[in-house]
Formats: sequence, structure tokens, C-alpha cells
Amino acid sequence: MPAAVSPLAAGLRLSLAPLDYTLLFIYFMFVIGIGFALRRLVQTSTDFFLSGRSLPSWITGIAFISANLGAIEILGMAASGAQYGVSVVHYYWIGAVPAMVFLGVVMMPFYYGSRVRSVPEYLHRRFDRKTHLVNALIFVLSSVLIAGVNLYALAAVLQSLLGIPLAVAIIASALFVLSYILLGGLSSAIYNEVMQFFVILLGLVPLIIVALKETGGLHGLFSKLATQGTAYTHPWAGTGLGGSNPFGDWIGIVFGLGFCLSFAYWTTNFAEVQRAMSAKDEANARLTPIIAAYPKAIIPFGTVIPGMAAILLIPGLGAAGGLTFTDAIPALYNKYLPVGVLGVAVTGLLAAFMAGMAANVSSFNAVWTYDIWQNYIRPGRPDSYYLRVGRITTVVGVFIGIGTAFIAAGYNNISNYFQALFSFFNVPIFVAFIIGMFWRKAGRGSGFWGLIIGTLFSFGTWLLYKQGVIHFRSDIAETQWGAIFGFAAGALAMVIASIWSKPRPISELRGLVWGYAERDPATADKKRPWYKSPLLWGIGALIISVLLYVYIEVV
Amino acid sequence: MTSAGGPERPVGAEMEAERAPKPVLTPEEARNWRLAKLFDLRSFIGALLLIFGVLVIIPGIAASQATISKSAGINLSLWIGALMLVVGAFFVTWILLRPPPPVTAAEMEAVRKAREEFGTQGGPPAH
Repeated sequence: MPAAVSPLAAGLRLSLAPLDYTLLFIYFMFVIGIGFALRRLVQTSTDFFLSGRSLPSWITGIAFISANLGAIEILGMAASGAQYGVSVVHYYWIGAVPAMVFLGVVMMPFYYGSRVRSVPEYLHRRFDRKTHLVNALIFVLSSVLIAGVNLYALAAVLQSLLGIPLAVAIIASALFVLSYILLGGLSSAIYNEVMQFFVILLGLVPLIIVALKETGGLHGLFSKLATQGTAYTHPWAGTGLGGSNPFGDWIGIVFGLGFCLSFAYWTTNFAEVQRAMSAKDEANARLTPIIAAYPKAIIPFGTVIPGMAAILLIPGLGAAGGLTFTDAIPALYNKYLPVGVLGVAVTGLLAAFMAGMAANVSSFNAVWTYDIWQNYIRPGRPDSYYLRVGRITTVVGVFIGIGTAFIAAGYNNISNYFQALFSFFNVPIFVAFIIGMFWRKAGRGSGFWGLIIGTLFSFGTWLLYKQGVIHFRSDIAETQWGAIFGFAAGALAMVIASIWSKPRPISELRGLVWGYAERDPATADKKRPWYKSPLLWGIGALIISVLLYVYIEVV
Repeated sequence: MTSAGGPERPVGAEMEAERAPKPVLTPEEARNWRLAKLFDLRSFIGALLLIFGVLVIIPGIAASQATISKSAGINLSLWIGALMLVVGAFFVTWILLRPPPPVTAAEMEAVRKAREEFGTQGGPPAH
């Protein structure tokens, strides 16, 4: 889940040596080089939007995790780690891994085998045009606006850490992202995400080593932080119904975060699912999110733990007038990393920002072109026409993003409003998917009502909380319970609407609902070795998450 | 269903391609194959990490005591540079041992047709 990020303190300026700038320059030459290299492979709209459905699962899997591992995520999770302590691991081990495994094991056959080209298209085939249009428009709008927010965040980091003027940073990075997506489409975005993944990790590894060496290992770190309260070093402490863990009670964590919020984000967000859909066959598509679950499970050691260590290592972090919690990682970089390694770490951070924006742009242009333009505006044209529309859409989308970035630069809080606004829709969209997939009798029009009623309840919970009518122990707890209420209300609305709305005939539901899955003919007959079983790897990821909880508890 | 190496062979089926007899490639196809190997993602990652590894490990070899003390007594440049060289070498070895399979012009055309059809496939049944 993307975390909201407070601005970096103005005082923290990294001093990069010529070698660091050289590494930065080489990296971005590679990025543009990939764009040019892939240009000749983009001949159809499928190439541009779905990488020709041709990639192996190790690439799509790393891209899947990388599209989520943006710089906002890294800085934000480290900031939350510094502020709230180890409870932030809930976002990973219960708030991500189970949903990713579910997507790969259970849901992916319906996405890939039904030959839909986007997440909204599934709703079109399963329900009706109303449901489709609502989902497609919300997605298109949120993608361009959040692309703009990402762009602003990137420019703010460039300004704060390297001293580049904000306007220059916004326009230069936007044009950079524009050029490589225009050249290579989704393949460009995915190739860069995979490359960025390794550079990011190579920037985080030295941080973990140094942070743990300085604080005496995980055991030393946790015992030194005992003064911060039990919940700071024990993720499940104080999660009883009357407890005080700021992450909420166990019902909210398990059902609100672990089920509603996490499943909604990971299984219906097209920016993620698009990576799996670009795999070369159904088996590789299913393995995509499961391969991604493994790095996801260990990433908190590179974000949350250094964030917690920063409390001890960076004096004055989070204090009024000093460095903010968001500065945790850059401040550690500055204090400990030698020339060269610092360049790699900063390169990874900037690459992650650009990849975040590129993921938004490359999923936005696909939904706009396939779901809106091809469906409602200009249907029935040859493929080359839609490829052209996709390229024009990319340009328009990036320019709207630039506009949004400048607005966000003027009104700092606007990015938080965007995040809050779109979060009300996520869970209800998931309701329509999960019920549509598993309940054959859900009526044609029921998806729309699930979406509307669920959104109203999510929004209503938030509104009542903000007005002080109902009380939750923290904002985090409110989002969990708001998601539970939104889910329950949306599900109920779908059941009631299905009384009046006839289900689609079975002939139209083939490949879309449980019990009527269509297998991808390319792999259906092939016997796959047991070590490529999505179920086996999925269970493995779940076991690792449980073991990591145990490890953190006893260390 | 589809015979290995036949015209219907799904894209990216490296395993089958290795066992199948090598098709005779036209000069154009051979050139495309060379480009496909050069522009494979593994080549990019391998090259980038090898370059980065060399540039990072050099200051590590020449690191002064002050630099090492700054990083909690660990020569980070040396370790991270070496790690990058190892990972970079892994990707280069991988692409050399398992290059992408050659694709004939006819196969490429069939794939292009299938993808065009996928991009313009009939929408869902009208409501």
C-alpha cells in the first residue's frame, strides 16, 4: 500500500562526488538505451500495452514487486518504522504476501485465461457497461493524478537532496519518463523496473549492514529501543480490542488490512496486474505475484529496520524543527555511505521515483485506449490505429501529470487528499471482483450497486470519524474499519441487487467465474514439473511470513 | 497440441528450442537474433552491474582508514562493489548459456498477426 509521505527537511543536502554523478549518468543512459533497443519490437498495441504477452515470470515477477517498490514506499515505510516501530511489518507480512499468493493461485486464471486485456475489461465481461465505465474512469483519473503526485515527490527529493530547482526537476524527469515509454511501451517500463530493483537493493543492503553493526544486531537494536514502549518492538503487542497499538486491533489488522485493503490493492490494481498479464502464458502469469511475494517479505529489513535504527543513529530525527521521519533513509545514506556506494543508493532512489510514475503512465494509457477509446469512442478500427492512440495518450497523460505536479507543489496537502479520495473506491471495486468471480448468480447490474454502496459506506465511516461522531484509536485503525464496513455493505448490496438483476447466461461467463475457468491452450496440456507449481511456492511464501513474525517476536 | 519447434510454437519456449534442430536462418533473421541476444534484459542488467561494480570497487581497494571508519568500520565500497560484480557476472553467464531462441520471419509474422488480433478482439457481448 502506498504510504503518504511528509516533505523532507530542507537542511539535508547530500554531498555527491563526481564518481556518484557518473554512476547516476551511466544508469540513465542505460534507461534511454533500453527504450531505443525495444523500439523495433513495438509493432502492435499488444506489444505497447502488454509487452506482447511474451515475458517469462522472473521478469514479470520482479517488475510486479518493483512497480510497488517506489521511492515513496521506501521513504514512507522507513518513516513509519521510525515513528511507529516494528508494527509496520504488518503492511508486508499480513498486508501484502497473502493477497499476492491469492492473486497468483486463485484469481490469475480468470484474468489471463479469459483473455481480458485490463482489469476493468473483466468487469465489462462479467457485469455491464455501467460497472466497467465507473471502474475505468476512476482508474484513469487516479493514475494520472497519482503520476503527478509521484512526479512532484521526485522533484522535491531532487531539490532537497541535490539542489536542483523544482520546476526544472519536474519537467526534466517527466520528459525522461515520457521518452522511454513512448519508445518501448510497457516493455520499457518493465525492463527498467527489473534493473531498478537490483540497484535499489544494492543501495539498501549497505544500509542494513551498517545499521545493524552500529546498534549491535537485531537483538541489540530491539533492546536499545525498549524505552519506546512494548508495541514499538512487538508487532502484535497492544492489538487486543482495548489495547493501544497505533496499528489498531487484531480484527482491523487481520480483516481490514490483511483482507479488504490488501486484497483490493494487490488483486485489482491494474498497474500491478498488468505486469502479470504481460507474462507469456498462464503458468508464468500465475507465478508472477508469487515470485514477487518473496522479496516483498524481506524488504522490511531494508526499510522498516533501518528506519527504527535511525531513531538511535540520527540524533534529533522526528523532533520539532529538525529532520523529519521521511529523512531517515537519506540521513543514513549521508552519514554512513562512502563515495560510489552513495551514488548507487541515490541512483536507486531516483530510479524508483521514475519507475513509480512510469507504472502509473503505462497502466493509464492501456485502460484509456482499450477500455474507453476502443469501447465507447472509436470501436472497430485496425490495431495500428490503437497503437497510435496509445502513444498520443501517453504524451497527454504525462502532460496532465506535469500539471498535477505543479499544483501539488503549490498545495502541499493535495497529494494526501488524492490518496484519501481514491482509497474509498478500492475496496468496493474488489467486492465486485470477488463476488463476481465466486458467485455465478451475481446479477448483471449488481456490480455497479456493490461499487456505489460500498464507496458510500467507506466514505461515510471516514466522514463520521473526522466529525468525531465515531471513534477509532488512530487514523490507521479508521482505514481498516472503514474498509471492513465498505466491504460488508458492498457485498450485501450485491446480494440484494441480484434479486432483481438477472445473472448473465453461463455461455457468457465462461472463463470468468469459479467452476467455469478456461485454460490457456498454450499450457493447459503441458505437464509442469512440481517445482514450478504456483500453489507450492505460494504456500512457501505464507510459511516464510509466519516464520518472520515468529523471528521478530523472539529476537 | 503444438509440436516443439513447429510454426505454432509459443513465443519464448526456450526449452523446446534447444532440443529442436536449429532452423536455417536468412541473413536478416540472423541479424535479428543477434540483436535479440544483445538487447535481452539480462545483457542490460549484466553490463550495468559489471560497470557499476568496477567503478565502486576501485575506491574500495584504495580506501583510507577514515573512509572505512565512516561506515562503522566496514569497507562498504569493497563489499558492495564485489557483490555487484558477482551479480553482473551471473546475468552475463546466464545470457551466454541460455540465449533467446532464434525466430524465423514467418514465426514473427504469425506472432504479430496474433497480437494484432488480441489488441482489437471483439468487445464483450453488447448490453
